[in-house]
Amino acid sequence: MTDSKTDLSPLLPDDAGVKARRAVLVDAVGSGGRDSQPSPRWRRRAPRLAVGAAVALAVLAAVLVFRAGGDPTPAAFAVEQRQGGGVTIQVYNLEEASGLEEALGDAGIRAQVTWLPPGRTCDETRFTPSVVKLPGGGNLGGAVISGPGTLTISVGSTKSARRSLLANINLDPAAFRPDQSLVLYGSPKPFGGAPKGGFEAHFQVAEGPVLPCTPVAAPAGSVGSIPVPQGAGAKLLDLTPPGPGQFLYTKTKVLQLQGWDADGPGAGTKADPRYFTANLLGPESNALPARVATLEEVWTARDGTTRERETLDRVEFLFPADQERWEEAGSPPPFAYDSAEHQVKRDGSGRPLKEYASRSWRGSHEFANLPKLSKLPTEPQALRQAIENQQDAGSATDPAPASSERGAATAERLLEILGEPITSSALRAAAIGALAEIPGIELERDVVDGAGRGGDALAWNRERGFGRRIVFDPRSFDLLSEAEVIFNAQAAEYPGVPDGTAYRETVYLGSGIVDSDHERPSHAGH
Amino acid sequence: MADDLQLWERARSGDAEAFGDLYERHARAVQSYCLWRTANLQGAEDATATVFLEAWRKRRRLTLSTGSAAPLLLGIANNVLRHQWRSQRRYRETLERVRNIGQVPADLEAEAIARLDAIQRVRIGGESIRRLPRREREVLALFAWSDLSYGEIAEALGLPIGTVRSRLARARARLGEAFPDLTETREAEEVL
Repeated sequence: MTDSKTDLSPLLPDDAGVKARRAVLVDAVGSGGRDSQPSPRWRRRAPRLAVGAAVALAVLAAVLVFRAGGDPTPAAFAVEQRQGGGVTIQVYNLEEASGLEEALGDAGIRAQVTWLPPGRTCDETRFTPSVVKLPGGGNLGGAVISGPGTLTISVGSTKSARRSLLANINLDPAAFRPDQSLVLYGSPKPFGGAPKGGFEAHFQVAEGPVLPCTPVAAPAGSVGSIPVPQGAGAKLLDLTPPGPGQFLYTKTKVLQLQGWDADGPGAGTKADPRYFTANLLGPESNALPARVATLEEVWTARDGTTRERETLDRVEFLFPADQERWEEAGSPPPFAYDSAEHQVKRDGSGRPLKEYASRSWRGSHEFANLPKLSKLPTEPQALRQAIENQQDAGSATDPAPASSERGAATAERLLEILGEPITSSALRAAAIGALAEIPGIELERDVVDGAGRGGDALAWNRERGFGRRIVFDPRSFDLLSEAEVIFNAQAAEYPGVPDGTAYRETVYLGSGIVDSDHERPSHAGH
Repeated sequence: MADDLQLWERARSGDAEAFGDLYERHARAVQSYCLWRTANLQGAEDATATVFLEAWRKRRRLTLSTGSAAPLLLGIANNVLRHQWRSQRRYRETLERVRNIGQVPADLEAEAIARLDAIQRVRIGGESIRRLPRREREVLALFAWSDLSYGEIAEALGLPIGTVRSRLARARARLGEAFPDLTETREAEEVL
């Protein structure tokens, strides 16, 4: 019989021995690992040779959304072994581009990864887009994926195993020809009013040589590239960032549509489905749809560092019978609040709570837009034209419809102005007015937001059954909420979800400048 | 005092001292585990240093999903023990420096007897576990020789918790009386 309680301390180093060994290790790692042999891992890089003429990006493209409720860890990415071979890579951002390239290379995928500052993108003529035929059927070309949370890349055989439902991208090394590789690039980007923002990632299969990324201005949709109109500045808005030692406090409520898989495992490795996941809502899933509400408080310092506090609020299923089924199962928490997976505390009223330090999506540039925003016109048409002039030299007097590329880009930029952490009511009124003038954007009177507050709404369709809806206070022009809405569940591939359901709604509950990262403005409420 | 999560995040951003703090906190548990697995003093010493050097090398892509670094480190220990020669080649200079530290016992005679005694027990005690097939051996070794919960063992080995339980059941069937009886210490966790 094995005596596992045997005291091994005579065989282990004493305190002095541990400290001496610690000193050696700290010295070794602190010196940059001077005795490390060259890494046997082959860091694969795409060959950097000239590519021919520009090739149009006429490949499979889709707009996808990250899984919600990702791990709040500030790590850039994490690799996990997948059961039955392969790996799952959880990408929180692309900051550690070379490490991610190496991880993908280790898993058998040659990749070039680039992380860019806000408002920048890569020149797309640097490679030849291609398509990979998947052994299990279907093609993989490219896509633009955006959101907060986690971008999940699954690498492994797709031949026999079912593709990972949790992954945004499923890659099969066996399906790549020797001349094919993966190009992945992205930058921080605001997302759905999330106070912490998120990032946008472009991925594309390439064939042949891939040139290094040449950063260029993103075509549209980035606040970082808001133009300062000529002749502006006659009447500057007073927009002030937090002073030294001060913090911008914001409180939002995020309602995210997630699916609960009643028959799914309640625990497991991160690569396996759990009870709740946004990606399980889809044609292949029997998951029951629920709105998961989270209260998010963020204190942002001048340098962009943040303290964040997230509380799980309510889990409301779209259908009462599903709610009962979930409650009968013991009301298992969503993944992000599963205490087996995350550090979860309880607040005063017993609600699951997570607290952590991080940084805003724009890092130390968090408040860099204020001078630009201060100079923007506060008259709707002038504001729209200021935005459109930068996109296109030929100034348009009439607004382009929301369904057109230019109209959609203008609408997104106006939304980003509305989502800026510090603006004035005059600028917000101009942005809302400019949105309302765009053909295809409908005004709805007397609606309620996700917190039950009354206001008016502007709504418009975008693509694949999805659209936008903002609710504002018509007196103060405060943005009350903004949402990505499933206007056509069939087209959006969310069968069983009623048309008009918000996929993700951000409700703005309050903000203000405070003197400590534990203080709340008196009007912010709870 | 900083918790493991904070120390690990600092280490990930390159703070060698924070990594040193984690070493002080977990080195004995890792070495003890390696000792049981190898029944070899020098092998366990080398493996322990290798575990931490590997953790440092891979720090950017490893995250803690529990409040303790133990599952992560013991998970690395498993891989290091599986590929000991290959892992250690990378760090031979540091391992040489660690070997030169040695022990400075307070009471030579008492120390020598205690050490011999403990070595004997490790060699005999772990024999049955070391003979198990690898998959069962790794689960049972963590179960018997670390303080990890079922969930943490699953974390360390990257397995679903159900697989941890089924492998333990198979090991129990195979070992019978020789199965380490730790039922009491794990019972409280069953409610998880």
